[in-house]
Amino acid sequence: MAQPALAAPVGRGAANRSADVALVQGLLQARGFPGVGKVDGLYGKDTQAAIDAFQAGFLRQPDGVIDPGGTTWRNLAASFDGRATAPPVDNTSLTRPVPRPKAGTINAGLVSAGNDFMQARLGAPLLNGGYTSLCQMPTNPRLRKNLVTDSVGPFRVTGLVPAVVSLKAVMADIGKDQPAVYAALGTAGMLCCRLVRGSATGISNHSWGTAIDLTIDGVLDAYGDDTVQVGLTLVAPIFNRHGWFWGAAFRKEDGMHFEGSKALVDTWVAALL
Amino acid sequence: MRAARVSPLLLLLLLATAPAADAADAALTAGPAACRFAAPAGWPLSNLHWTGGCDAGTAQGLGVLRGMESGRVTRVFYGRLEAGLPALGALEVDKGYAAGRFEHGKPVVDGDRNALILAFDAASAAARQAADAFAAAGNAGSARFYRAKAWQLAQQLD
Repeated sequence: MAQPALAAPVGRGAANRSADVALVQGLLQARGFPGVGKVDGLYGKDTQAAIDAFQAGFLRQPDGVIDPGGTTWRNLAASFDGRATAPPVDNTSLTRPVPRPKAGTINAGLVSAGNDFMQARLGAPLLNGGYTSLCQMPTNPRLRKNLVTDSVGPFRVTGLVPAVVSLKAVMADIGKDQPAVYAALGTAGMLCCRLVRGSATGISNHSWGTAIDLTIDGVLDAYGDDTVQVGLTLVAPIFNRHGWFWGAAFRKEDGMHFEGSKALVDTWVAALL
Repeated sequence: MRAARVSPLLLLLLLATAPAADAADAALTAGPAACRFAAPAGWPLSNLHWTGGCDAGTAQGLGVLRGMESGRVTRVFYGRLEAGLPALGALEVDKGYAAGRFEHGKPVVDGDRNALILAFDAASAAARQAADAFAAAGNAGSARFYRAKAWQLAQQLD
């Protein structure tokens, strides 16, 4: 995806050229700031309020202006083409909730791997069933043979070998592009064979060691409230770039959850022993 | 040597302006005499309210611990206190949760997903219990709030 270009500053007291304002409005919409209103190229109080709200996610003293090539522009424009290059500076709280990004603005070209798909590719994790609400180790010999426990940078995980290898690459990129988030990242677990909450038959995608839940500063993003931690919005494009699907797009928002997409799982299956 | 004398007025002033001690360092100093408890680490010691069971003078079992400031709830713990100490559950932080088995007033961060599952189970049960209590007291609004919270806590880990 080509990176859009901003010709002149947008925001409080800025040039506010129509084409630039429209560009900013569209990106703010995509980043989950619907209060920006219509994408009409007209600068007004709604546009300004959305700029202020967006900056408050990573600037201690928001100035309400988006400069071409500046920190706010890099975070706004780069995040959603998967090429974030600059860390947010003076970040106040990476756990601060922001609206989840709009459908179609994340997970571009990626498809979530459902239960049937995972069972078909990797088999049943527990050969004789017996799933409960608590985590168990897989009994499937092929799966067991391909599990590993290793550090991926900021934390250790147990998962499917190629998934863990991919996670290391994701974390290396996060370390380069978003060091503040990297330093705050932790995990609520990767491999965990269990039933999906409230289901007697559905198996969690964690059962195959191909999904991970992240924490930021030890805090889990709340499930299903249509908001996500701002730090997650900064790393999600990097996960997407590596073929990981972000759970913020699920029907019920699951912002802390990332899992191998169908296409990525297929490459992992091909690499198994 | 003559002992220094401090006027009662100055003493009161000093006490009033002294920073609040960290709750985790001061076990069982909060709550009424019949139901004492220690707040999670980093919480102030005043304006804390426990909605849950008590046993032998200490808070015990499932419940909701709320910290209030200027009449608003600013901190919440859902889960289980044992002998007045936070033992298992979830703290609400920035609308998210810091959860697990608690030691020294803080959740233990060791990547144990089963500990997290059990913590959210306890937190959800605590919220459900609070909802039932509010419903029984005729407070439908609070009952609805805690039922929604119980659902969210139960769904937190897939």
